[in-house]
Amino acid sequence: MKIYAVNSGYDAISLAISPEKDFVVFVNQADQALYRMSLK
Amino acid sequence: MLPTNNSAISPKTEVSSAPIPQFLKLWDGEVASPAIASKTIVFFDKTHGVFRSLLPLLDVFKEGKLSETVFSNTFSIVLSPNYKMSLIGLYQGQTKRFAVFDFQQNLSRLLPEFVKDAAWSSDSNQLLINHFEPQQETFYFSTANIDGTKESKILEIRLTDAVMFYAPKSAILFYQKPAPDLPSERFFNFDLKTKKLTVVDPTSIGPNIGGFGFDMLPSPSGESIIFSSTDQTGSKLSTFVFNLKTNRIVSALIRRRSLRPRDCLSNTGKAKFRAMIHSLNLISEPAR
Repeated sequence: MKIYAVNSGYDAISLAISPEKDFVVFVNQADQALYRMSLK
Repeated sequence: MLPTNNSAISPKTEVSSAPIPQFLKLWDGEVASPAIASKTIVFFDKTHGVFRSLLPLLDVFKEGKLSETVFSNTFSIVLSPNYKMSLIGLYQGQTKRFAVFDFQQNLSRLLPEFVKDAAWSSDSNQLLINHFEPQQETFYFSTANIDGTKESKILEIRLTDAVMFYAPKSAILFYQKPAPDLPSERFFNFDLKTKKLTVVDPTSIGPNIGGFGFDMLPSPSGESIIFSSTDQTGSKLSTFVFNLKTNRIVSALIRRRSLRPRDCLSNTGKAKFRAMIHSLNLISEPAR
């Protein structure tokens, strides 16, 4: 098990993981904007 | 694969010229249903009512529109598994309707009025439909072509507000959406080949599992699901991975507030990978 980020301040919904599993995109609940999170 | 409507792609939009940080805002505005097709990020821009794409090129993102068609008054957007189409829930006055939009043909087909809800098959060739007959006030599940034709009745149901999934391997998973005085204490697994209906009662699986805040998501392989539930007060949330073959819990993932399986689980379906997120505490573990 691996934890990538803790207490980032984002409340992420609608996640999608890249096929290479190197990043995640999500919608932040607060502003409904699109974000990318690196998993590298 | 993505549609190849290159003419709809604008020259470029530079989001960042610096090395990509751990967190990066890709689009400022209301967004729904992001997905990643190969390397391209696709999403619905709710502010402007259009589907867009972002293609990473080194440290910038090339912006494109998947179509010029504008959709307003939408309440749900579900991209097809092959990313070539989208199911669009939209309001026509007070009435909820569904349409299928084909990116490549730039063509929208309104599904019949009897479609109360719809879900993609894993191969994107069919729809699972929750069919409502207002005169008889009956519901049943059916499958149909993506334009709503060639409908085939599958199973009559007595659920007034069913949440359903067209899982791989010809299975339909569904449950009654919980309400404050109506917990969802079980879900159903219907095998389309054998016509066998299996009832799974999460409360029999383990202690302290209620069905008031119940949510579920099947894995792309169709072999397991992630589900969570809370007690009547919305607390004591528990989340589990459940193997549909063995009828056993594989793992109790996390016991924290506000975990939403439908939002938090993503699975490539190819690699054995499962990830979940809670306040962006992202955890991954090998699928079992």
